[in-house]
Amino acid sequence: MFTTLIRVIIIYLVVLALVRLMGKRQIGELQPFELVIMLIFADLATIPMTDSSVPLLLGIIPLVTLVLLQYFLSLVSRKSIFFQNLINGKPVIVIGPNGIIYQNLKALNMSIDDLQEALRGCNVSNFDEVQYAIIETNGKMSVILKKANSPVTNEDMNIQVTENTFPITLVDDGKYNKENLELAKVDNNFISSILSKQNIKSIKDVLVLNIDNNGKIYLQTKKGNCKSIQIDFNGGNNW
Amino acid sequence: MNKVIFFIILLIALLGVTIGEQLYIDKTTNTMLAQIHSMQATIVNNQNQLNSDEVLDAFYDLRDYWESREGTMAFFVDHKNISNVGQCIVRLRAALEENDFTLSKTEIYLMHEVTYVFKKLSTFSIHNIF
Repeated sequence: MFTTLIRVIIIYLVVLALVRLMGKRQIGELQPFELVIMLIFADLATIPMTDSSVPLLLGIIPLVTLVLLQYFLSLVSRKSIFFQNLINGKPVIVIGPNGIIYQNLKALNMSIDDLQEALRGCNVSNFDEVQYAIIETNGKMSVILKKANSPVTNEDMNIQVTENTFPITLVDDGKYNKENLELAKVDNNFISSILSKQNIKSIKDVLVLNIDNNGKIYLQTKKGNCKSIQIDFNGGNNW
Repeated sequence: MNKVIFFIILLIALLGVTIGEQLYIDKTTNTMLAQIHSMQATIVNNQNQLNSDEVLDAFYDLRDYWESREGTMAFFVDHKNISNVGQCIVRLRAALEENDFTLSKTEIYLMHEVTYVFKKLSTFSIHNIF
């Protein structure tokens, strides 16, 4: 049993490291060859975990080989459009300006019901609203609405707006995030002064404290409600 | 570390382990087969007195060599595939101590066959791939 325990830990760590190496896309949007690798991964990893007659190396070597293969295929498909099309396939337009493209729909083995279902998944209920609908290589549908059905934007209304900023967390569950403090070019005293103005005695009482480039702070204590505070902050465009 | 460098290191490590494994198994099984041949000759030459020091010493050499390599090989190959040789060694020892020539001969031939098959199955060949 102890051997199994150790083997499970080793295989788990190896698989985790290998999945991390493959990149974030594997976790969400899988290309066909990536999906194949992930499916095989699941099976391969479990065999040496429990069968102690199988050496760990026999379990790890196929996993590493698959990751190298995946990396090689990604590299080749990134360098060559021909290989990219060969390995990943091409996005297919199923609805164009002139309506549904039946040949493409047939080539994808999709029915009208499937198309409608995919459109509903994109919050579109009527074919007439769609300028283009594209089935991406990962199987997801992308929809470009006709201008008349697109949501109104600030640009359409000629409204002047400031750019969105990206907030970073300076205090996380009662602890300073040192990396983000450096990024924002502030120190513990900066946080302490904010907290004292809000009558918060200790950093340990803070659940989260975020700040954006414009000095807008989101502060929530562990026992209280959240607060939005605006301060003068010179750290704009630091991150 | 640059990802490309990491993958190159990973590839080199992978090739190193797999090629190293093949060389190790090949060398070990070749030596083992040579020792088995030598043991066969010793048994035939001493068929009247198999539990003599000469035969038992030859047997211990053979057993010690296999046991010293078995653990390392267990890093690479399925334990089930190498356990047959160990079983033959145990039975051969009993046969030698009992001075049973027929059984000793059978066991040494069996050991040769098992080692040979293990070598064939574990080393690279087109036949093994398909």
